[in-house]
Amino acid sequence: MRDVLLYAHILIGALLILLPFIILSQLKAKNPIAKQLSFLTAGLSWILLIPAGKLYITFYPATKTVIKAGAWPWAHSIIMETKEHWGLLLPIIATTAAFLVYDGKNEESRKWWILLAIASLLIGIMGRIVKMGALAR
Amino acid sequence: MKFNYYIGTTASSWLLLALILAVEFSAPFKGVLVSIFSHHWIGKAVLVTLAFAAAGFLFAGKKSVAGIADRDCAWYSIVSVLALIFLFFVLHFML
Repeated sequence: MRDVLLYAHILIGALLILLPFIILSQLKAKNPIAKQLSFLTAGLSWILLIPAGKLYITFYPATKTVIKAGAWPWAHSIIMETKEHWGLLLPIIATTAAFLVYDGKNEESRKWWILLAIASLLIGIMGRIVKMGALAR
Repeated sequence: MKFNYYIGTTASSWLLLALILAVEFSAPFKGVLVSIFSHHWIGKAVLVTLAFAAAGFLFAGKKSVAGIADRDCAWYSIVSVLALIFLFFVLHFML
């Protein structure tokens, strides 16, 4: 169960980094598939809350205890706390970007897609730091 | 039915920051969220989502917030709140 959630979490998170660039390229090419991809990305950003939430609530508390007792307590107190809350804004960013594409405001949607990709990438890096924090002694 | 996603984004981002501060500084408030939603994170997720939808529909016709165009307000709000969340947890850890 934990592994399935973890792989889903990582896979969907990686898609939220990759898909914005595909959408931007398709918007530039004026390909109508950009609209479908936009709503797929927004949908994935909401779905991501399920594995993220289950991992955080069910499996993370044990890791948190280890991190806080280790050499990198900030990996939880700063990095994980930031990560868990930034994650709540990803669906908001992705949905706004998708609505902009739906409304034909393609140029304006650019910065929102770029923000989604950057925030998702930083969240991924934060996840790696948290994992390293659990091993730091 | 019209939906103003800019206003929804503005409301939900600032609400998230308010919820973070409230949970960190008020144990009773955190307890209320836990008692209703089983976990404070779920409570924040539900309330932020509701704020996005409710504000987007309720203020669908609004074009500005405090004299700032709704699209600018949404952008500055989301970027500011992302930065403030990180800054808050840095200061909260250090002080």
